Amino acid sequence: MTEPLSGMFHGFDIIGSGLKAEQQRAEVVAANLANIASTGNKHHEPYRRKSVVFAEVLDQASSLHGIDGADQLAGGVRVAKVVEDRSQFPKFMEPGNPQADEDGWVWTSNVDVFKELVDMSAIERSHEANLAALRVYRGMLQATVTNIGRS
Amino acid sequence: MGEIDRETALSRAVLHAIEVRSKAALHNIVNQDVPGYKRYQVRFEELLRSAVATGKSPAEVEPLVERDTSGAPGSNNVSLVSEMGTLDKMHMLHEVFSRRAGAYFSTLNRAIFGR
Repeated sequence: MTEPLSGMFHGFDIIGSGLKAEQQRAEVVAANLANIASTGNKHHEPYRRKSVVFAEVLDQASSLHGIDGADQLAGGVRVAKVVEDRSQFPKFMEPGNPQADEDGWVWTSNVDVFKELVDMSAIERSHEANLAALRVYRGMLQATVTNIGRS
Repeated sequence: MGEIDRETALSRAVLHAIEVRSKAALHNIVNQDVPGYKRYQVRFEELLRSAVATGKSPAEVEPLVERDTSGAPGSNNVSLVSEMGTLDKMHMLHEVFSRRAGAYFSTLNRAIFGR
């Protein structure tokens, strides 16, 4: 029987999806930082900054009553897509650079190290919140076992 | 749900509502970074109160999950602090009601088995 929101361990799945999504977000930030020194030119683009977009997960399969409520609330969160930053690449004049085009311009990646560091802090905070919620939920299940199971 | 006595029915209804509200809080917490997400809230206490006032069994009361559409359209209205507060509150309430149910079951056990 898979009644929505009634599975005892379902809360762990919700938190698990949150931890996983935040981890994927952190991986994208890591990739951005790793490629920050990438160079290119107008023929060959350097690395573009990437960021993730989160989306809510709803359990559509188990919408028993068809209302926007308990029967749909079952999911958690997921990474819906990874989008590229379409902002312009910073460029500088350096004709001696092997990456320079015929006019001497070199493009660098549009990753902003400060933006990434702020993102990283936000990820860390979200991650902490998920873990704190996980601990509380785990404590509730533990209390069920000790208070009711042993009676 | 078969016939159960009033005490068990109350414990079951309240513990179920606590679980649903906790999961709604978990869902809100993991969705704190989703653009445009609107939080879920769970109504139960007033439903229980009116059910009891009209003489219905607590077993018939189901928590009502609904969207809280407050906040600007397209903005995420999750407040992490209040969700964690809800979760902690549910934790304490769960402690109270799980102990109450456990004590009641112990009493039944003693009545039936004499130990």
